[in-house]
Amino acid sequence: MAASPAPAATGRRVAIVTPWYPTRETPFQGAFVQAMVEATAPGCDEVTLYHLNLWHMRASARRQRSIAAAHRGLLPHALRRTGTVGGAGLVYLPVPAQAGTSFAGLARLTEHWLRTALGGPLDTPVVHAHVGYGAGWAALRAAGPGTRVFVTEHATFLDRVLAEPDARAMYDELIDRCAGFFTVGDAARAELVREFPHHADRIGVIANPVPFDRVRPRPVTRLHRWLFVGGLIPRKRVDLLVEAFARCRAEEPALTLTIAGEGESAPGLARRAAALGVAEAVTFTGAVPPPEALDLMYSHDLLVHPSRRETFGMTVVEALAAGMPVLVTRSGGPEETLAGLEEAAGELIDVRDDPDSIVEGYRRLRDRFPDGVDVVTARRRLAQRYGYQAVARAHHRIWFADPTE
Amino acid sequence: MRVIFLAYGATRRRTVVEEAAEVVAGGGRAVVLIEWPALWRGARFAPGVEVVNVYGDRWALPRAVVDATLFRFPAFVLGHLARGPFARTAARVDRGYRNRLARPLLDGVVLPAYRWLGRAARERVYRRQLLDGERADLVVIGDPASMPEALSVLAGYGDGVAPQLSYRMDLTVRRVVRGG
Repeated sequence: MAASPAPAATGRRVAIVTPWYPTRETPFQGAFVQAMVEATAPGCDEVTLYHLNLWHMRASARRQRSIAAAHRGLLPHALRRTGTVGGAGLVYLPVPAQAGTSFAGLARLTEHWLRTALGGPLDTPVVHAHVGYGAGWAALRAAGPGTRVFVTEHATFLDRVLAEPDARAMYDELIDRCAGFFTVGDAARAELVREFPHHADRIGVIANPVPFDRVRPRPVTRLHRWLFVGGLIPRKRVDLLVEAFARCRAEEPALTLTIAGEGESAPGLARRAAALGVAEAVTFTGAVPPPEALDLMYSHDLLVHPSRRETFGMTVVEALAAGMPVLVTRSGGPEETLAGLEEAAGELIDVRDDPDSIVEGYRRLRDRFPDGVDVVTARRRLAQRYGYQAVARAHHRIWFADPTE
Repeated sequence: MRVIFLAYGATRRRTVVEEAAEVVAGGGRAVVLIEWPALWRGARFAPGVEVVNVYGDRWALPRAVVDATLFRFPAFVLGHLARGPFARTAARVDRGYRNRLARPLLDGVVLPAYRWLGRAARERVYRRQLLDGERADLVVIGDPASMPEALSVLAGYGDGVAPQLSYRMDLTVRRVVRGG
C-alpha cells in the first residue's frame, strides 16, 4: 500500500468521504469508491480518503455513552493517516452506532465523528462524498466555507431512507446546498428526480470507473464455467441462479458454478445446491477482495447476475472488461451500461421470480455463442464510457472547473 | 512485533481473526483478548494466535448455563426445524432471535454483571498482557465494546510510553492525523 504524498501547495487537493470502502470485514463493500479513487487520485496534487466505517453495537444507553466518551479519548492516539490506491491517503474512522439507528441518526452520528476527528473543518477546495444520507450529510456539515462539496449516490435502498421524514428533509437540504449531486445511472437519477422534482436540474449522472488495463490471454470459447460475484442477499436472488444452474447442468454436465460473496442467503444456497444434487459443481468462495474477484473473472466463462435492482451494476462491466460475456437481469443499471451493446455483451433477461428466465436466457445465449456475441467490441465501447481515463476526466472537470465560469 | 487485539464485543470477528493471522504469518506474536468465548464459536484462529478470555475460568458454570439457555438450546431446536420447506423460515427466526433477544440479553444483562464481578480478574489479565510482561508494540481496538477498555489501557501507562493504538492493523502507519 503506497503512502500518500506530502500536501502540495497547489490547489488540486481533494477529500473523499465515504461510509463504504473494502475492508477485511466487508471486502466487496465500496469497491466502486476504491476504483474511483484509483482512477482520479493520480490527476490531483493530494487526495485523502476518509472512510467512516459504521461499527454496529448493541448496548444500553449508559454503555453507549461510555463507548462514545472512550472513542473521543482514543481518537488523538488511534486515528492515523495511511495510504490506499492511486497514491491517496486513507484515514480510517470507526463510527460506533447502535443497531437499529435510523438513517437520520446514522447521518448525524457520522457527522459528529467526522467533525470530532478533524477537530476543525474539512478545508480542501473539493470534497467528494459517496452515499448521500451518511457521508454526504457529514461532508456538507464538516466542510469549510471555501470548500465545494460534491456527492455521488450509490445506495439501492434510497426508498427506505426517504421514507423517514427526518432523513428526507436532510437529503433535500443536501441536494440543495452541495455544489453537485450525482447518481451513477439514469434510472437512479429518475428515481431521485421523482422524489425531489424541484432539484431536477441539480442532479446529474457520473459513472463508476472500471479498470480495462488487463487483457484476457485467450478468449472465452464455451460457456461452461459460470460465475456470480456479489453479496448473497435476497435482492440478488442467487437462489434462482442455483435453481437455474441445476436445470442447465442436467442438460450439460460440464457446467460449474462459482459463487463469490457472502451474506445471509449463503447457508440456504449451499443446502439447496445439495438438495438439487449439484453440490459438487458449485463452489462457494466466501467473500473475496476486489482484486481476487477480478482474477475469478479471468478464469470463468460467463457472469450470471440475477439481481432485482442495481444502480450501476459494476460487476457486469468488470466482467466484460475481463472479456467474459454476461447473462444479466434488466435491473436498472445494467440496461443503461449495456445500452446498444445488449447482443454483443451477452443476454439481458427480465426480472422475474422464477428460474425460467435464467434458463431460457442461457439457452438463447448458448445457441448463438460465440458467433452471435462480440465481447471485444462491447469491451472497447465500455472502456470509452467507463474506463479510468474517461471517468477521471469527468471528475476532474467538475472538481477543478472555475465555478465562476 | 507483539500485537494485542481487544475484541470484547466480537462484532468484527473476521477482521480480528485475519489480522491476528497476518501478525503471526509475519513472524510476530498476536494475543486476542476476548470476553465471552461462545461468541467466537466457529472462528478459526491461525495456529500461534493466543486467545485469552479476560475472566479466565471464573464462573465457568454460570457461563455454560447462560450459553446453553441463550444460544445452544435454541440453535439445537432451530437446527432441527431448519429442514425442507421450513429452512428459510427457521433461518430467519434464528437470525431474529439472536439479534433481537439473545445478544441484547447477553450485552445488556449478563456481560455488565460479569464486568462488574470480574473487574479484578480482568485487571490482572491486562497487567500481565500489557504492563508487566513483554512489551506490546501495537494495541488494536477491535470493536466498540473494546473502546472503554482501550482507554483504560492507555490510562494504565500514565506518563510512560504506551504502545501504539490503532483501529486496525496497518503496517503502513504514517502519522497521527491530529497534530501530525
